[in-house]
Amino acid sequence: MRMISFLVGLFSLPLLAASAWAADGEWLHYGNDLGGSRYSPLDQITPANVSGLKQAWVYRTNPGETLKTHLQVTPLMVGDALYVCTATNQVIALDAETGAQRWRWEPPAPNDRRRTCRGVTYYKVPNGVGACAERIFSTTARAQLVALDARTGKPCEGFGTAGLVDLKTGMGEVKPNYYYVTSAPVIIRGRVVMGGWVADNQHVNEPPGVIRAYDAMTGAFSWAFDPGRPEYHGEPLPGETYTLGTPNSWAPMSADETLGLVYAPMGNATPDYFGAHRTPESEKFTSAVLALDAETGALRWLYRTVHHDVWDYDLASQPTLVDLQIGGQPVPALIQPTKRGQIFVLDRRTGRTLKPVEERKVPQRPVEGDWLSPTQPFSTGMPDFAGPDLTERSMWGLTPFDQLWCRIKFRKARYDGPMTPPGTKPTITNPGYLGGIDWGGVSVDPVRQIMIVNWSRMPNYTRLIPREKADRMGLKPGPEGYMPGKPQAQAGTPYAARTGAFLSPLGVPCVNPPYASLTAVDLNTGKVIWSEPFGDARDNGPWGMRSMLPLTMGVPAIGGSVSTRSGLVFIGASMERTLRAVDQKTGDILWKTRLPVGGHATPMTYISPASGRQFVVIAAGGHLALQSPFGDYIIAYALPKK
Amino acid sequence: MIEMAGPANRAARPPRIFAALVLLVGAALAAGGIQLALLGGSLYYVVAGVALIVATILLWRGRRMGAWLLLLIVLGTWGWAIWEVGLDGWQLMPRVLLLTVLGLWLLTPWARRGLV
Repeated sequence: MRMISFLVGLFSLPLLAASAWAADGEWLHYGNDLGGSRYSPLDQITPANVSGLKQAWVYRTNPGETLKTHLQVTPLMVGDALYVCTATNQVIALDAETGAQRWRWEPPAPNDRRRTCRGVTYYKVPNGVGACAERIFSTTARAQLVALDARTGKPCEGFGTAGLVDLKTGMGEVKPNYYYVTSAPVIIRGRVVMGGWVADNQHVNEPPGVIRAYDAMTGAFSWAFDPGRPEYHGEPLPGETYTLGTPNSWAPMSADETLGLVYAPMGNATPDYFGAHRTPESEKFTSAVLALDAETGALRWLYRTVHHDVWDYDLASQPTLVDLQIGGQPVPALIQPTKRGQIFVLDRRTGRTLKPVEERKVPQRPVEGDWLSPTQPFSTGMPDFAGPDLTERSMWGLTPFDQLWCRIKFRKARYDGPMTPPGTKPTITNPGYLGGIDWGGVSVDPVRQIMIVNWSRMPNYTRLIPREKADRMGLKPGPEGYMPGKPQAQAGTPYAARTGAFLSPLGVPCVNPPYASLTAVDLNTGKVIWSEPFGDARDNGPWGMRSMLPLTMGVPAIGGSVSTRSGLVFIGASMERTLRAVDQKTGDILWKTRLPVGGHATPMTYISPASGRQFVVIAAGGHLALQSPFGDYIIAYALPKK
Repeated sequence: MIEMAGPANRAARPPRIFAALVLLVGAALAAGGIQLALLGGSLYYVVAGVALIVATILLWRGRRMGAWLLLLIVLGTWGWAIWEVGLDGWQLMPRVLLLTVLGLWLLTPWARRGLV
């Protein structure tokens, strides 16, 4: 039996490897393929030679500027050029061999707004010639979609108005910094599809969570999926808007060209921590993954990972599409990682679960005026990425004093295990809003059927503030949207909310390390192959100081990994400022290099046609919510020329 | 060890700076420990805190008994910490590091000189 499956595997290897990924070493989509595998079929850099990797070049996107937020981009590599977007709305093309700038597009409006940009989108017009036969799509902090000529960086004349489409159309009043697109749109069947980010927790009826598709040639509106009006796929009539305050999709989407489906990971209807006012439609789509018809926007199926989400457990991870071997048959699957640390495995044709899921009873007693689901889904057929339940003993600190402080805070708070609801008495939310698994998602080696998961263990300390008290505190919806550590108004609900990582007065987590781990999972058996604390303590310490301690601790991390054919996993993500190559078989660190700031972006890899060498590139940009200092570095590594 | 309590060292004073330090630690642990105990949490902190305050009084008076008591607290702390978290280095750190350093100081000649 084993011999047969070995032989089958042997013959299916080249088929699998050849089908989905560009054979010539490009990186054409955010997650390399439309399915977000973050898998590279390249094998020039191997476990045997990876220790010889050297920095090939570094490009700074905004030299000399005071950075106000993070650079989080995963570049695309097409032909012999890299394409990146910045936190200040520029789109830049670089020479893939040297890192030299080819062109740089600046948005037309005053460039005074900043946002996260995780990537751009590439499109080759079928049978296209001349200008804009190949296009780069990006979005701006003013919620515009732009199409640029991939060769010159000039806006495409025939697209929208002078290359731009205004995404605020039909969205009602969009105040500055309340709505824009942070993840790269996906292109399927000639349509550019995207959701959008909205400011968390400011007020009810924030901009709509609508998902929209535009013609990739003309920028003409194609369809919309409005979670408040799921049967209507047109634009709003004059004087109307898409439904305000609906669940949105800010994380990267995936798509399947063969099935003609777009997979949208949804958030919840903000405000996040109170939900009595939410409509049945918002409840239906909250923290669910949706399969939408790429040509019409019609809902084919949905799978909800949280019922009545009052924890900010929105789906932050790109759904990863992979064909799993189940009962000897390849089954088109969708892997949906979650902030809850539950990973759901679904049949991507139907949305049915492929690994067992149990509806388990969860803590009750909601805050006055709200309600709770008696049960929540737990993916019992997959390993758990939430970590063990917390106890007073698991409280930590650098000294006995802050540890004692944390123990007192723990005893004063409500904590009944996973899904403890928020209340006016403090509650501990574990995992916190960084996960579990955040926007870095997972990478999957479809040949070996191994999934790499980097996950966090960082509880939140949450408290709801009754409106009367919030008014006395002067809490109003803010123009800047989310600010770490500040209470948030949740205007229009009976409570404001204060939440953040559960930290001691010394600024270290109140829970014991590790705060991040890297884990390999066998997708066939659903078993953990190896799991290691991820990241040394040297760049962490009290009050944000750097301890210089070269001890493995598992420090906080955000970002994704890349798996390669040769059996390597490349990952930055950690607050320890490093990019590393990990042995996929064992979890051993085979190579590690210092970054100027934290590399909280997913790396990528490609072959440069100029030299035939394989490069690995990561953006080192820091991270706002981790309070990891900002940077503007795009850094490439390669084996030295022979 | 060299005999320290000879006539030449008669002027040696009790280790009062050290004792004051131990008092601060003890008072903080006792105060927080009472709160934690009232919340139904671990009794270790209040017990250790009060014991440290007693040790302070003895050390202030230059009594060797204070050093013995501190040693007992350090040993007890290790026992409690291992019972709570096993041999996990990161978890042992906040529990045992500070008191162990204080205990080691008492083994130095400068600290022992002032004790009878």
